[in-house]
Amino acid sequence: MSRLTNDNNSLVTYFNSKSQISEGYRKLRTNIQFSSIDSHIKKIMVASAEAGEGKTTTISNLAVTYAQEGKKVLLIDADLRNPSLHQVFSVPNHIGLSSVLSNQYSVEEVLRESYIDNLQLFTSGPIPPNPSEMIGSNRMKRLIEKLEDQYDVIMFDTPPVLAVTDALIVSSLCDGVLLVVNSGKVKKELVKKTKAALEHVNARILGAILNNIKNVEVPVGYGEK
Amino acid sequence: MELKGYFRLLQKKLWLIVAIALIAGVGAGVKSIFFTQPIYEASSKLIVNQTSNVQGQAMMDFSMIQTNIKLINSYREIIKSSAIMDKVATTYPDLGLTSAQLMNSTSVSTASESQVMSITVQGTSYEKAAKTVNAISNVFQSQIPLIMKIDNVAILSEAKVDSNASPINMKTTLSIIVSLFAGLVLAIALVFLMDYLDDTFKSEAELEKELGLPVLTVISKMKKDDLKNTKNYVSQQKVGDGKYVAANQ
Repeated sequence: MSRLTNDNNSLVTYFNSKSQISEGYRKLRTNIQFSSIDSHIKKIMVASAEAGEGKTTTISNLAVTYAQEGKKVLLIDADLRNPSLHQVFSVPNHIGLSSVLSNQYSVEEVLRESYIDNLQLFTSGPIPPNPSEMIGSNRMKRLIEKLEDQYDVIMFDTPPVLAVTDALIVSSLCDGVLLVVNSGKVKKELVKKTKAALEHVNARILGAILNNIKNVEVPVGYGEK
Repeated sequence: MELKGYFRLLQKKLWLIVAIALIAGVGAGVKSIFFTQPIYEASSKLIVNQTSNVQGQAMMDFSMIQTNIKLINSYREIIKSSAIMDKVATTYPDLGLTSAQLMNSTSVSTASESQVMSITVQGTSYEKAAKTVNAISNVFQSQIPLIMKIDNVAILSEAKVDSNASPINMKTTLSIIVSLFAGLVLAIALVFLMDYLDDTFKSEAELEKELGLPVLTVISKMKKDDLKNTKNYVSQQKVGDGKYVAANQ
């Protein structure tokens, strides 16, 4: 149970599901569901211009809210260069996506249960020398196709769009892209570039998430007590 | 940006504005109390008046007064010339001032259309300034007959050496208030400049407008409070659910 008292934890939706931030992630879930009336959005990824804008936190919390809703969720760490999903959920990462893509392990061997019901984790595995090639391989495509049948939602954490091409490759596997924008930190120009890059590869950008905003005036406490 | 936006911006950076204004105010206070040498001012008054003596009867006429007034302009220059100041420096060596220093610290002024001129000297102590101004007056009075061949200068009032004068440049309260205000104005300008130069997305509307994407959610910065583990509390409620049910029954 020591995991549950992890100090460095950003899974606010799990640990403090009544907080205003958790409400924000639930709003995100609702908005994604409503933005897909005609086409079902099953594979979702997060993208951002730069590192540290909150991709991993966003996708993790979103995955938790989906799982809390009863959906069967798989969360994949497609950031093979600087993975962090295993840290959020405090799971080992000696084997993972890179181990499966390099044919060393089967999917069943590397999938991990999280301590949240309905939420399974697919960590990145050891850092490979050729992450872009791995992500872009046919094997990856087949892997996702196979996993698609087993889950209600599959979510991807990715590297920053402007740094490496990996995120753009992942976007071609996904139904929707969430663009995380770190408020007050990232330059508008870079965000616009990121959007253009995603549009260039025909990614479907569902919308943006304004992250880390300060002093939001939101009525707090509605429904409490 | 509308007026409300400006206010909100200032409100958000209120701490910065207050800090800059306070630093400016305190800085001015410290500067004027600890780092400013007080300067004192002493002045004496001279009157320029020559009566023509005709047959033992003193007469004063308008043209004579006008002449005297015109003379004052020359006297102002004469006082500040080396002819006087060199003499002051040599006759009063205890002042310890060179003639150049004397010239710099001395000013001569006159009220228009008046025969009275006042000599003002600034110095680091009032006593010294008063002594200096009296020395200059005396030397001037004694020298003018030699220079102008006319004895028409009389000392009207000397500077009082024992006077308890306050320094002229020590307006501490005023300088603090002025600096406080200047700091405030500067800080507000700085806040607007910073906002103008800040090329980042800060609001939902901005993001939506400039990026052309719907904003699906806004997540505020996580505080310690948000990460507080309330899991047990929540699960208890889930199990019990009593509170809400009871309210309905």
